[in-house]
Amino acid sequence: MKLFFPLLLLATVPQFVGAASNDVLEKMDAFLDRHCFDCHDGSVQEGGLDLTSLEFKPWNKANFKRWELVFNRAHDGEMPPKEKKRPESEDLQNFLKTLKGPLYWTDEAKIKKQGRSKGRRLTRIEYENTIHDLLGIDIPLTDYLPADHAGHSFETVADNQQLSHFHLDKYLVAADAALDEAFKRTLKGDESFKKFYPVKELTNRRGSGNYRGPEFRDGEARIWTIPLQFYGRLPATRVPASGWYKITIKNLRGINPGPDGAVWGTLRSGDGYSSDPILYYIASLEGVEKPRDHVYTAWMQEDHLLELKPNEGGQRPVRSVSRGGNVFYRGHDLAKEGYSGLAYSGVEIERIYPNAERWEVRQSLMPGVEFKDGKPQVKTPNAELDRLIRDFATRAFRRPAKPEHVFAYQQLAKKKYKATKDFTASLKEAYRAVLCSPRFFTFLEQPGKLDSFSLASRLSYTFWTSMPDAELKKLAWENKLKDPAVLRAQVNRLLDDPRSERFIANFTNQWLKLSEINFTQPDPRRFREFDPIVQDSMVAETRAFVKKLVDDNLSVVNFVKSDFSMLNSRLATFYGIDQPNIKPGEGLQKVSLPNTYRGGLVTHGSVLKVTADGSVTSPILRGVWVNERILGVETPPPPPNVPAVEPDIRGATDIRDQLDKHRNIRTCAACHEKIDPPGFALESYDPVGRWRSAYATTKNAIKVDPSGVTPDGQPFADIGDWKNVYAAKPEKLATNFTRQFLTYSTGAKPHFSDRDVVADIVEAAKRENFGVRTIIEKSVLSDVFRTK
Amino acid sequence: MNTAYISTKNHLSRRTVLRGAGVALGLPLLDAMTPAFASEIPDRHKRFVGISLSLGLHNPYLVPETSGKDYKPSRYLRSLQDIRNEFTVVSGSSHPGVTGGHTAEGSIFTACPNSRGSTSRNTISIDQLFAKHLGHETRYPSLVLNTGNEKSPSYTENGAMVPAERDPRRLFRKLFIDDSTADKKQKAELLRGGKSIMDIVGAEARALSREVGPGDRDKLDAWYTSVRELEGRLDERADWVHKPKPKINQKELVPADPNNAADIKRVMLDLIFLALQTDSTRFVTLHCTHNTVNALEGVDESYHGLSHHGRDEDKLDQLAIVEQEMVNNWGNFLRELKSVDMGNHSLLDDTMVILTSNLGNASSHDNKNMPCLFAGGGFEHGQHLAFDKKNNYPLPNLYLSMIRNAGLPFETFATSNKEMEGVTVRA
Repeated sequence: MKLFFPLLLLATVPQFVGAASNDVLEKMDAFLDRHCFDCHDGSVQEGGLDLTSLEFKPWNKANFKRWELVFNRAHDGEMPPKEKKRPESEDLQNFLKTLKGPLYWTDEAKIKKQGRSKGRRLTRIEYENTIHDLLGIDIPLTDYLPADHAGHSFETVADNQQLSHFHLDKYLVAADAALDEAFKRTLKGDESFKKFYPVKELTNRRGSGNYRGPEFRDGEARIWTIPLQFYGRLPATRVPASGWYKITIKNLRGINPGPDGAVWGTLRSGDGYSSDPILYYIASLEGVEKPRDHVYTAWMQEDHLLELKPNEGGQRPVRSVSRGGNVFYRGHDLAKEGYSGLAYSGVEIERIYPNAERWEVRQSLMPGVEFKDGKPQVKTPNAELDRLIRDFATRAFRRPAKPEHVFAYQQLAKKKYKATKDFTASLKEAYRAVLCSPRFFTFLEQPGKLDSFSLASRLSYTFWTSMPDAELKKLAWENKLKDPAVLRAQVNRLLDDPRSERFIANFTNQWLKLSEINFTQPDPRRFREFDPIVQDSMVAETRAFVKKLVDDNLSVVNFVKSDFSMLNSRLATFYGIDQPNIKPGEGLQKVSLPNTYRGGLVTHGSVLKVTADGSVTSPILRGVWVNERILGVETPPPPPNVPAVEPDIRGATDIRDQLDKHRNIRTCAACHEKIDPPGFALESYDPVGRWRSAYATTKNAIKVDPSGVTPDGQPFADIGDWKNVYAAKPEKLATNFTRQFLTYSTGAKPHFSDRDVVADIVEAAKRENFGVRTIIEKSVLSDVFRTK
Repeated sequence: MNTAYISTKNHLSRRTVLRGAGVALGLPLLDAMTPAFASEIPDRHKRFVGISLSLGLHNPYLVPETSGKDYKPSRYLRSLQDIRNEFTVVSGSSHPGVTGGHTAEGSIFTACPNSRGSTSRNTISIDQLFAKHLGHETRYPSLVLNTGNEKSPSYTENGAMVPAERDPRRLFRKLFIDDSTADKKQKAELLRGGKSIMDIVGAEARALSREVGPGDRDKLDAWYTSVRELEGRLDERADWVHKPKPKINQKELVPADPNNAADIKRVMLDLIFLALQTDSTRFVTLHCTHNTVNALEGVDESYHGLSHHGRDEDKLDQLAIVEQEMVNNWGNFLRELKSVDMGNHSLLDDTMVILTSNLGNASSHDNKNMPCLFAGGGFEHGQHLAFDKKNNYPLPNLYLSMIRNAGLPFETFATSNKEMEGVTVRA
C-alpha cells in the first residue's frame, strides 16, 4: 500500500492521519522487533527510550523529535550498537524510507504554514550597527542592552531570545541615548579636540609623588616591565569628553627586542586610579628597533587617560627603580643593563567621528530640511513632520511604510507640535517611538518565500550585521534579488566589502565560542607567558584565518588540518614555532607551518583556551566543542530517567584513567565514545593552548597520552593522526559548516526536511574542493536561505 | 619612517574588562547610613532574598547527619552556630520534574518542570511574583544580580529571563547616587513621553499579530505583554524620580578580589544589605556564577573544575575551602540583617533568605537533593528538616510557605502541593 498524506490537512486533522500513522508503525514493526526492541522495550528502556509504546504522531513536536532521533541514529549507523548484529542493508534502507517520508512531509507542511524560522528580533550588536547606519552616529550602544544568549547555537535563533518589560525598558533608554546624540550633532554641531603631547608633558622628570609614568631620556619617553598597578599611565592625556579618538604614538620603538625582533606592549584607557581601577583595552602594540608612528582609534570615556606599557609575558621585571609604589629612574641606564622596554617621542590625540560627518547625520535625521543659523527652516510643520516620519520609518522598518503603519507616529508628533510648537522635539518624540516599534526591532517575514525586502535584510544582516545599504534596497525595490545571478553577485559584493569583517567576528564569536575568551583568567603565577597580548593575538589569528578561508575559498579541511596560520611575532614565540618566517612589526601575517600540530582551527590557541577552564584542561569540554562545532555531532545531556551516576575517580592516576572509569559506566559510554577521542587528542595542549607532552602540575609529571579510537573504530596515536582521520572526511566537515552557516543566517537550525538541500549544497561544493566561500554562496542561493 | 594605521574600533572590549592581572574592583565602604524614609517603613513588610549557587554545595559536608531541633552541625555549618536559631537546613528536597544539570538553573526560583533542560517556556520566579504583587512600594520592585554574567534565575510571567546586573559599582550608583536636577527633569519628561510611545507600540504589536504567521504570534504577544507591563512601571517610576535616594556615608572599602568568587559575592551581599536596610527594594535574587577562586589560600583550580571532584580528596579539600567561604558570607549577611533593629524585631525577622542551587551533586550534574539553607522571615528555625534522599520532597512547597508568609493568598506555586511540612511561623 502506498502511503498517502493529505499535506494541508495534516496539522489540523490529526485523527484522520491517525489511521495512516498506524500503517507506518505496522510497516516498521518487523524491523524494530528484529533490531531495537531488545534494549528499547518497556522493561529495559535503554537510554530512556521504549519503542514498543512509542506512538507515531509526527504532528506532535515531542513525538516528532523522538522519531527524528531514531531516524538519525539508524541512518548514521550508530544504532543498533556495534556489539549487536548489523541490519541487512536493504532492510535498513526500507526502514529509513518508511520513516523518512511521513517525517519529511509533516515537517514540510509545518514550514509551509509557519516558516522555518520564527520572527526574531535584532540582537544587541545588530541593534547597534543598525542605529549607527540609520542615524550616522557612532556612540556605543551595546552597554545599554542586556546580553543575548546563544544557547547551544546562535544569538540569532528566535528561541534563544528573551523579551520582557525589562528588555523593552532598556531598548527605550538606548533609543534615547542614540537620538540625543543624533539631534545634538544635527542642531549643535560636533566637538573638536586635537592636541599633541611632547615627551616632557608626559613625563615627570624629577620622579616624585606617586609617579608611575615613563622615564624621560634622550628626548624619549621610555617605559619598562615594572609590576605596579597603573604603571605607564599618562595623566596629561585625560580627554575632555566621551568620544572616539584617533591616538597616534609617535616614533614608537622597542628597546632591546628579544629573538622575535619586537617588544610588545598594551595601550589601554581608564580612570587610572584605584577608586575606578578598570582599564579598557585599546590595542596591542609591537615595537621594533626602527621607530615609527602607530595610529589607533578608540572610544574613550570622559576624563579617562591613556596607559601604555610593555606586556611581555614572562619578562624579567625591573625591580631596582620602584620603591613604595613610586618609580625613580635616576642612577640607572636600563637599556644598558639589558632590560627590554618601549620608547616613543610623543602622543597625539584627536577627536573623530568615525561613522559619518555632521552633514550626513543631519541628512539622516532631517533630509531635505534647510538650516539657517543652525536652526531648521520649516514652512509647513505638519506636512514636514508627516514626510520626515514616513521616510524615517521606511528606512527603519527596512521596507516601504504604508500610510496606516506610520499614521500613529505622525499623529504623536503633530499632537506634540500643537502643544509645544517645538518642531525638533516633536520629531524626536516620533522617532523615539519608531525605534521602539516591533517593525523596527523584529524581522517581519511571511511564511513561504521571502519577499525581496526580507531577502535584502537577511543578506545584509548575515554579512554586515546591519541594515541593507542603498544598492541592496534598490534591488529590493526593483524586485531583482530573486534572480540567482544577481543574488550571487550580491553575496560576493557583501563579502568583499570591509563590513564583512563584522560577519567574521560575529559568526566566529558564536560558532567557535570566541566570545567566551574572557570567561576564565588563567592563573598568572602558573602561566606567566600568557598575557592580554597573547589572548588578543589568538582571537585575531582565528578571525584572520577564517577570513582567509572565505576570501581565498579554501577547503573546509582547514578546520581540522592546515599548512598555515595567521601569526604575529608574539604568538609564534608563544606557540614555540621553530624559526617562523615572520617579519617583526608587521602584525598578523600568513605563516607556513612545518607540521600538523598547529595548523587548523581545532588547534588554534583561542579555541584551546575557550575549551579549557583556565586552570586545567578537560577532554570533555574540548571533545564536546569539537563534536558540536566542527564535526556536527550533537552531544545531548543525559536522558531524564537515567539515574545520575556519581563519578568516582579516587585512585585514578591521571585524567585518562579518570575518564576511562567514567566511560566504563554503560549509560555514559554511548555519548562518551564520541566525546572523548578528540578531547584526548587535544590533551597535548595546556589550558592556554601551548604544546605539552606531560602534565606539569603535579610533582611527578605524568606523560600525556593523546591516543584514542574514533567512534567508527579508527585508532590514532596523537592529534596529528586524529587530524588526518578527519581531513579525509571533508563531506562531514562541509555538512556541519553548511548547517552552522544556515543556522546563523536564517535564525533556525536546518529542519528535518532541509536535509536534502544541505546534502545538495555539500555535493555542489565538492566540485570546488569544498571551498568555504562556495558553501556560503550555495547556501544563500538555496531554498533554505530564501524561505522564511 | 612609515606609518602603521591599525584601526581598532574596538569599543566592545570596554565590556571585556579586567583583562590584566591584579586589577581589582573598588567600592566605597558604607559604615553608617540614614534610611531614606525611616519613618515611612510600615510595619512588618516581608522581604525575600534568594541566593543561588551555580555549582551546588557538597552535600556530605553540608547536610547534618542528624535531624530535628538538636541536629549535630555539619562541617560547613559549624561556623554558623551563633545564629543556629535563625535558619533551617532542608535536605532531601528538590523541584519535581526538573532535570538537565547546569541547564536547570532556569528553574531554581521558578521550580518550572523542564524537559531535559530545554524548557520551551519558563514560568514566573518567586522573586518576580513578589515584585509583581508587592514591589510597587519601593523604588526598585526587585533587584536581579549575578556575580559573573548577565544571566539570572529570575523570570517574568511570560517566561523571559530578567537580565542581571553584574557590576557592583553600577548597582551602587543606581541605589545611592542621585541624578542631577537636569537629569531628573529629563527623566521625568522621558517617562511621560514613554507612556504615549508604549500606547502606540502596543497597538502596533496587536495589529501585527494579525498580520504575521501563526509561528510568530507568540513573540508578538510577548511584545504586547511587555509593553503593557512597562507602561505600569513607568507610572510607578515617575513617582520616584524626584524623591531623593537614601544618603549614606562613604569610605573606601576593601575591594572585591576578581580572583575570588566568594569575595565578589560578599560585595554583592553588602550592597543587598544596604538596599534592604534603606528600603530601596524588598525582593532580590543573587546568582553566583563567578568561576575564578585561585586567590583563596590553598586553592589553585577553577571553581567549576573543583565541583567535578569525582570524590578525589585533594579536589574536595579545595572545594571545601571555597564552599565554606560561600556559606560563611551567607552567615555574615544574616548577622547583619539581625543587627538591624526594627522596633520589637530585627530586619532578619522580616526577610526570608534562602541559599540554594539547582545542583544537588555538581560532580554528577544531579538536580535531586538540592542544597537548601533557609533563614529569617519570622519562621521558627534552628532545625534540620530531613526529607527522603531517594524520594525527594517537593521544594516548591517551601516557596509556597514563603509566598503565604508574605501575605499573598496563593494556593499553589509551580508544582507545590501544600505548604512545607515542619515550617511554622514563630509565635
